Amino acid sequence: MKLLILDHLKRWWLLWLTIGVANCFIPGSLLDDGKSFFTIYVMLIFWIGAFQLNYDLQRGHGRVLTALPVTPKQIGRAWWLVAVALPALLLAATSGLGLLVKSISTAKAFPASNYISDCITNTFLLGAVFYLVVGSTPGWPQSLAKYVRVILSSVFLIGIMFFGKLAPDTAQGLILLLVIGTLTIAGFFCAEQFVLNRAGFRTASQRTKKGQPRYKAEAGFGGLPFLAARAFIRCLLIGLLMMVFMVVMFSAMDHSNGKFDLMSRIQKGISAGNNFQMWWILLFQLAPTLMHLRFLRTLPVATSTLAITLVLVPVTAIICCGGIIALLAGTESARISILSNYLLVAAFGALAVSVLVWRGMDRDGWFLAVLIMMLGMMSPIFIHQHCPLWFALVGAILLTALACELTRRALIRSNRTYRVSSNPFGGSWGAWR
Amino acid sequence: MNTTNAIEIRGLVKNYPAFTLGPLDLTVPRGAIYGLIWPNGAGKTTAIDLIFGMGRNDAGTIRVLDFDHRADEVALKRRAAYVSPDLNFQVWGKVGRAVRFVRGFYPDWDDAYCADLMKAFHLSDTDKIATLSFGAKTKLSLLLALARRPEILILDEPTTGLDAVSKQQVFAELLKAVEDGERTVLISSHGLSEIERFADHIGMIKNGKLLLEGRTDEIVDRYRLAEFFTSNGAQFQNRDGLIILKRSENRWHALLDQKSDAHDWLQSRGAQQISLTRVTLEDLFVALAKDEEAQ
Repeated sequence: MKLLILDHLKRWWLLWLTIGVANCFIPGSLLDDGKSFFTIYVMLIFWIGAFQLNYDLQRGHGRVLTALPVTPKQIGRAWWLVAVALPALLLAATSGLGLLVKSISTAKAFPASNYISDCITNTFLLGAVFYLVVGSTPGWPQSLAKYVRVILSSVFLIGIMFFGKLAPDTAQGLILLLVIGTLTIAGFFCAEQFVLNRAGFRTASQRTKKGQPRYKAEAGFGGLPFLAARAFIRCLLIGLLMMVFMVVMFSAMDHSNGKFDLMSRIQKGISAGNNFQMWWILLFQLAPTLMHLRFLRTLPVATSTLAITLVLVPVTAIICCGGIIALLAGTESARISILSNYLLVAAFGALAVSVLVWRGMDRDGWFLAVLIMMLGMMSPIFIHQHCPLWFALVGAILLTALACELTRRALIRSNRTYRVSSNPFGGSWGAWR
Repeated sequence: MNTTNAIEIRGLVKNYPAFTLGPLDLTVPRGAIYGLIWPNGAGKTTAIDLIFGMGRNDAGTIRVLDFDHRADEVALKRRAAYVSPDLNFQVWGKVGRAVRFVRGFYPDWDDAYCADLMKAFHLSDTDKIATLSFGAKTKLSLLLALARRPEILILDEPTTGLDAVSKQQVFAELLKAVEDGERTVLISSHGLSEIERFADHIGMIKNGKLLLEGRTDEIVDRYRLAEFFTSNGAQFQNRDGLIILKRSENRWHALLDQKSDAHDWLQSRGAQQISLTRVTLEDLFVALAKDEEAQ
């Protein structure tokens, strides 16, 4: 077990160090405001803990480990320790250190109760994420039950992020705390089963029944228009689903603050929040498309046409989402603001596409794409108040054109994208290389 | 460009930090079933990728059916098909949708043939691609390639993950597809016995360079495994047409090129009881690869 833990730390030490250093400073900066550090922790768990472990598992690490002379129980415990206990200790130690230095240097009292409460919440949150992420079967859900589990897990995780209130001083917070506490303990005891599920996962084995082979040609157009239409519709639906989800969630938050007003929420554009649509669109629609890029390149499509399709499908979907939200907005200025936001976000999304095509969907590729997407998400926050529509439009056209050209070049020059099998969804979508 | 050739690769070079492919020259005659024998990690997939424009070559030219692989990309791909277990169709969810997608690119797509192939490969349009076995995914890849009746079919390890029955099915369908003698197949495989049976031309590549190229029967006839004895303590080393494979005391094993004077040379140096046996492609490849490594 010790070797497994050390192996994980050896491979991820740089990220742990970065997070540790960052965590020394961030909570300290909130000391003056007396704010909870919970939101910071929530952001950090996306970089450390179960998601990090899951990255390894998606590359078949589970199967490798089970072939070693260690029991599934030992592997499970090691996973729980590296994904829950050790990250919790790291975050607690570094934020404690940061707060201590800050409180001494500013001669303020150390916020002990706040600190302890946040550390407990943080541990439970890491544990809940471990249960939900590592405990899920990898690959695209094949049954309704698995779809429901994925949706509930996603809603739960995002819900926690946005509500940000798990302190036991409210009934709502107490219930959530109890739920994630239970999941943390369940995760510890179920870890062995998670190992067996992960290691034994093979899509081929899911085929249980097979009738007589048959073929009935599907009617309708095929080719690139079929790809573009399907991808666009999916992108749009994902975007709209996210929009509805965000509206409901923000409204519920408003409601919990005693100022429930659905129309007002829509009219405000929920611009920053809805930029998450871009993540979902890129993650759940573009990524699978890029994963069969190797196959796409063997088809009679000009490189430039393919590049334009890859870039424009998510871009137009994001802009369409923005258009629909703008239509719902009450005032002219709100409409312009929303459209400007979405144009900029879509343009950054286009750049993220070219990065993913250039680097392939490996760790570096995703890191760069996420960085660009974060810039895209930030841009409206920083400039939308002063950004006229024409500026956003010209900027979006220029950035999208640049992205198309970069994608075209990446398709021609880069070998990585055709070889890298890694993906955020598990082995079943990998290219088996 | 010689129009009797389906593929002409000249001076192809692709540099990576730890590996260089080429300079590679390769000629695949039109209508041939060309077996490409290439060790692991030596640039086989890179070369095939370059034909389809996946990555840019640092030097050299690639022409397929008289089309330049970059300038005439679309025309080339309309006539050429690529089959590999690496190809991923899962984004389409079901087999029928993948077929519909690919069919849209080829006006002369043969739906009746596609249905026959579905039956032969035990696939259905309603099958979920995610739940197909590894072998079934390869069969789907082959189906999507064959049903468009390509002029040239490039197969990269098409039998990986297939059982013996499935391999037979795959080769039977391939032979059916090329029986008119108009279509060209370039097949790269580590299954040398399959290549020996199936391919009428072969090319052996090591360290990114072509070691041997020609008709399979001529190559197999040209080389022999020689076993001989020495009583006078004579020593033998590799020379033109002779590759020493192993030695145990006075007993020697070598690969002998019958077109060279190696046989006479052995006799003149005191080799006795020289017996020659037929080589398999595997013997030949191992011997040539070892010789190349020794050099």
